[in-house]
This record gives sequence, structure tokens and C-alpha cells, in this order.
Amino acid sequence: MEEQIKQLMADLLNLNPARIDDSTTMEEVDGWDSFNHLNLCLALEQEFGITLEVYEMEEMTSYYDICRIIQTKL
Amino acid sequence: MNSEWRNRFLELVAQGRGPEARQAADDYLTHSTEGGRWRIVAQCVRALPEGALGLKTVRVALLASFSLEFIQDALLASGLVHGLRIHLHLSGFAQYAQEILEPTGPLYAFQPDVVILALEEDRLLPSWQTQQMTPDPDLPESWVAQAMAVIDPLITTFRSHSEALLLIHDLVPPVHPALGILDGRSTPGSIEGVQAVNAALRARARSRHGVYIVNYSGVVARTGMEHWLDRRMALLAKAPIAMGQLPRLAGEYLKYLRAVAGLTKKCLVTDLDNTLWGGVLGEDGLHGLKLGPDYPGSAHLAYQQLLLQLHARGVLLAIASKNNPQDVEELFRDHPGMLVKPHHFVRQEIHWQPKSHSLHAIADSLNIGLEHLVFVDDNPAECAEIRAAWPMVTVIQFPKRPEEVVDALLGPGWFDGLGWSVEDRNRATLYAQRDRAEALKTASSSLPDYYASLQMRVDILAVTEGSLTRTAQLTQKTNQFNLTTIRHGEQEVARRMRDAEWLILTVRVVDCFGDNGIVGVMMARQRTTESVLEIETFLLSCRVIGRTIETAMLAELCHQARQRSLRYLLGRVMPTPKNLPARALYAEHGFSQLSKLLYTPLPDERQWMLDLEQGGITRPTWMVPMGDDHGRTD
Repeated sequence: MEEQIKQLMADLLNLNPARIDDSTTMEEVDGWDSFNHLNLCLALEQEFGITLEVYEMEEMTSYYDICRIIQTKL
Repeated sequence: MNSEWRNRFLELVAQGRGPEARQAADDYLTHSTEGGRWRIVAQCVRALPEGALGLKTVRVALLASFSLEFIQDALLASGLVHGLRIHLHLSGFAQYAQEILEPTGPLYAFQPDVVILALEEDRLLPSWQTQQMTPDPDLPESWVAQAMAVIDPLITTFRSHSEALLLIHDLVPPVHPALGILDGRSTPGSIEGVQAVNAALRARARSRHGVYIVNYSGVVARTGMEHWLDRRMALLAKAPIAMGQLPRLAGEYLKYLRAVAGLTKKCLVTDLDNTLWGGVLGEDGLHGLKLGPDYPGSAHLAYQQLLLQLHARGVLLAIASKNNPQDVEELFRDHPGMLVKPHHFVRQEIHWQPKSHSLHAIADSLNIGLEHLVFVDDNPAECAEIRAAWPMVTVIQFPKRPEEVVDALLGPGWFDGLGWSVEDRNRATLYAQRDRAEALKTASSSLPDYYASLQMRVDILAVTEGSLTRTAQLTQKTNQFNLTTIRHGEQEVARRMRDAEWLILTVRVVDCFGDNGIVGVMMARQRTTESVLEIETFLLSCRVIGRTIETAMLAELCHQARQRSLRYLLGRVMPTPKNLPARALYAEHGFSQLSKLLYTPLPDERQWMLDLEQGGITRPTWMVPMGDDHGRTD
């Protein structure tokens, strides 16, 4: 699961997957704007076959939080 | 399993094997359950160099009143499956009006081939929110007037800046009318209002060339509003269409994009056993077949009905079956339930040879490329054989549940073209006429006798608004008797039609078998400095080649050159794998080959020159003079 998330973030936010870790946050990453954030949320929904609540999308502002929330949905 | 589909696709792309990679992309997108499959295919497409995998380029601009950005992956990926490399321009959020109205803005700078205008109700009907709540005695006229006041200036301005195809979404009638079950009870309501706006949009599109109304409400209806909408994303990001549904919308756009690129399918080749009927003729016998009012015979009957529907649209039908031909003949004669008859098929390949041979023979006899065939067969082994032998053929495996064949065949719109010419509807009949003409040829004693017996009338006329569609269509699909094989869209032909430097002539042939319609096109450019009339396009449908019509066409060009006081005719020839029969045209008509080529020759180009002061070309004497109705267009 972690690998899939890293690959998705790398593809959609133009990052090197090897450099994604718990310190990767929306604030730190330049291309992680609100549009790309929604795009990432939708891609995560498709990838894992889940539906995110709006408050969950709002909380998913870092790699750490994405993993934490996806974990609870599987 | 998922990763196998993906890896096979990626491998074929890396190997540059176009038709196989497209098929693998289709398999991957259809069968894999990977959530990211559209994105992965789209990323591959973005990385492709221009011209890779034999894809045709189409430039598409998306203008929407809501967020339609998320469709990008689905559109690029579906494009690949259908042989297209789509380049996309997205308008800024709800900037559609500004982009259309700004002649020096990004939309026109992008030089789109196709522009999609997707507007929601509240853009065409500015007081949409309030007006549906109060009964309005002026409905539906008041809504039509409002919507047309918005759309008319957009269309007019757009057309003055661009010849691109314009696709406009229709509106979805409200599923929850504001007045509930009383909608339309005292006065016409919002459902009728929206339907009237849609009808008015379609009428507008009919009166403009290159404007089409996308059946968006139909696409939504196929899925159903509850699954189509993502109300959460509608409110959060103004992106109302659910992510999982966007490939369906992309599929609807693809019908137009394929047609623009000249990729419309022309012929459906069907298997017989367990396809045209249920059961196996050789085993179950004529009376043991399932074909009639009871399931599953009713489903095969529905398939036959579908074939008749396609036949009426001008799609050619053919049979590729492993059977005893006598058994099939007997069945056509004696089975009471058969809806399709032998005369609906332009070719029957019924024997025990491999079906790859049959398909080749069918394409060959119709003078069309294999890429214009759709093959339907229930047997996975036969489907696999065709896929391996002819990857450019579209293969549809007849579904295990026969009732699903209707959606499988009609859903992707394989046979959708942009023009609806008389020729399309008559095509099947015309091919039958050609067979009769060939029979006559063997009966006539000398060639001039034969030509005279055809009673040919060849009308060569300047292109008109009415013949634009057919003219562009012929440049798109004529391969054999086509000297340069330069393809043109309707927009380009329209542009040249208004340019005095260009002479565009259409050739209509009427003979003893009937009216063949427009079967030939010439486009020539006046080069005053060198006193040359340069023949850029010269093509003739293979239905009528070998009848000296090409001589009449050249005679007309001589006449036109003299009228313009031009001394030379310059013929250009671009050899292609298919145009061998045409290449000798200029040599046979007294042209001399040039050793030093003029203008900007293309690679492999050859040029031929005729000096009109040394003599010209005259119209063959066996032709009938032009008729009184020669101004008629289809």
C-alpha cells in the first residue's frame, strides 16, 4: 500500500518516489496545490476502490496522513 | 492478472508496435480492475513522440462552464485505443466565453481541429435557479429565446475565427423538477423547457456547417444521474461528473474525433453459427437452429435487426463463416425466421479456409483497407486468429449473453461519420451495380463499345456548400486511384473554396445502372508566375475506375487552365503502397516527367508536365453531354 501511494504521489505531484517520507507535506511540496490535491484524492479513491469523506480529504495533507487515513478505509 | 494486462501493453508500446499496442491498451482498460489504468495509459501517450505507433494527431480544445479537467486521462487513453494522438487545450475555469470572443487568445493560437463546448443549464438559462420555481406561461419559448441569445453569438464569433468542428453539449432535463409532480401541470414546465432548448440547439447546428450537438443527456441517461453525478465533487470543486464515468463521456467525444480523422469503419463482417443464429447449422440442421421469438433465438433475431439497421445507414455487410456453402444457401432460402437476406451482403466467404484469408478477400474485393473492417464472431479462437493476422481489424467477440451484442456494437459508434451523404446510403447498392458493370464488360466486344454501352454522363462542377462533406470524405477515404493521397478535413476544403487561387472540382457520374453520385475530386492551384495549373489532388473512387472518366477529368483541367490563360498542367504523384493503379495516369495522357521538381516537393514525389501549346486532352466521345439537372448536389 505504501508503495502504491508513493507512486501515485510521485506521478501526480512530480516527485521522486524515493524521496517521499513522513516529512512530505502539502506545505513543503511546490506543485501540491488545491487542484492537484483533489486530483490526488480522486486517484487514491480509484486506486484503492474507496470513497473518501470530505473531511478526510481535508486531513490528507501529508504522506503520513494519507497512509493513516487510507489504512482505516481498507 | 492486472499486472499482466499492464505489462503486455507497456511492452508493445516500447516495441513501437502500433496496432498491437492499441489492442493491448483496449484489453488493459477493459479487463483490468486497476484504478490507475487510465492514468497509466495516458502517461504513455503523453510521452510518445509525434507520429509514433501510427497514430493520427487530433487537436482538441475543451471549453466548459465546470471543471472538466479530470477527463484528460480518459480522453488520451481512449484516443490511443482508437488510433489517435490527442493534443488537449483546456480553457481556464469557466473562461469559455472569453476564449471564444478573444481572436488573439489561447484558443485560436492552439489551432484546434475540434472544440467541445460543455455548458450547464445555468449558463444558457441565466435565471435557471429561480425561474424553474414559478410556473411561466411563456414557456418553452421564453427559455429558447434566452438560450439562443447566449449561444448564437458564441457560434457566430467562433465561426468567424475558426473552421474547427464545434461540438456543443445538450442539456439534461431535470430529474427532480423544482415543482415536483406539478412540473408542467398548469403551464409547460422545466422538462419541456429543457427539451425545447435542446431541439433549438439541434436546429441551430443543422443550419451551420461543422456544428454538432453532443448527445450528452443520452450519455447521462445510459448510466443514470445517480451514478453520473458526484455531488460531493460538484460542491467541492465544481467537478460534477463522477471520476469513474468520465471514460463514457470521452467515448462519446471519440465518435466525433474518429470521424474527423477519417477512421470511420465501413464494413461489418459477421460469422454465422452462434452469431447470426443460435446453434451450429452443420450439427443442429436448419430446423434445430435458435432463431425466432423465444430466447435465445430472439437475441440473434435482434442482432439481425441491428445488421439491417446498419445496412440502411450504408454500412457494408459481409459474411466470413466456416460452413458448407450449399447448407447456407438452403437456409437463406428455406428458413422462415431469417431477417437478413443474401442481397444484404456484398460478399460471402463461406468455406473452410482460415478467416484471415476471408477478411483479406473481402477488403480486397471492396477496395477498402483492413482497418475499415469490424469482425464479429462468437469463437474466441477465430477472434484470436484475426487479431494476430490483422491487428488493424476491430474484433468484437459475440457476447456469451447474446443480448449484450447491441451495446457492444453500437456503444463505441464504430460506423459514425460526420456526413450523411446520399452516397453513404446507396453505397451497398452501388457496389452491387459495379458487379453488374463488370459482367457487362465481358459481354461487350470492344472497349469503346463497352464505354458507350455504359451511357456515362460525367458532370464536373465547382465544389459547393452542399458537396463539401462528400468532397472532404473522398480525400479521406480514397486510397487506390489517388495520386497524392493528401487528406483534407471539411474545414480545409471550405477554406480553399473561398480562395480564388484554388480550383476545386467534383465529379459526378450517372450511368445506365444509376446515379453514382460524386465519385471524384480535383484540387488545382493557379501558379500565375510560372503559368502553371498545379494538380495537388486528383482522385477517383475505385467504383468507377477503368472507364475513361479520368480522361474527362484531365480534359476539364485543360479547359480550366486555358480559361485562366495558363500554359502548363503540372501533375504531382506521391507513391503509396496502395495507389499503384493511378501512378501511370499522367504518362498515359502525354505528360512528360520532370527531372527537376517544382515548388516544395514531398519525399518520393514525382512530377509530370503537359504543355498546352503542344496539344491538350479532349473529353472521350462516348460520354453523354451534361444533363439539365447538373447543378443538383446531394
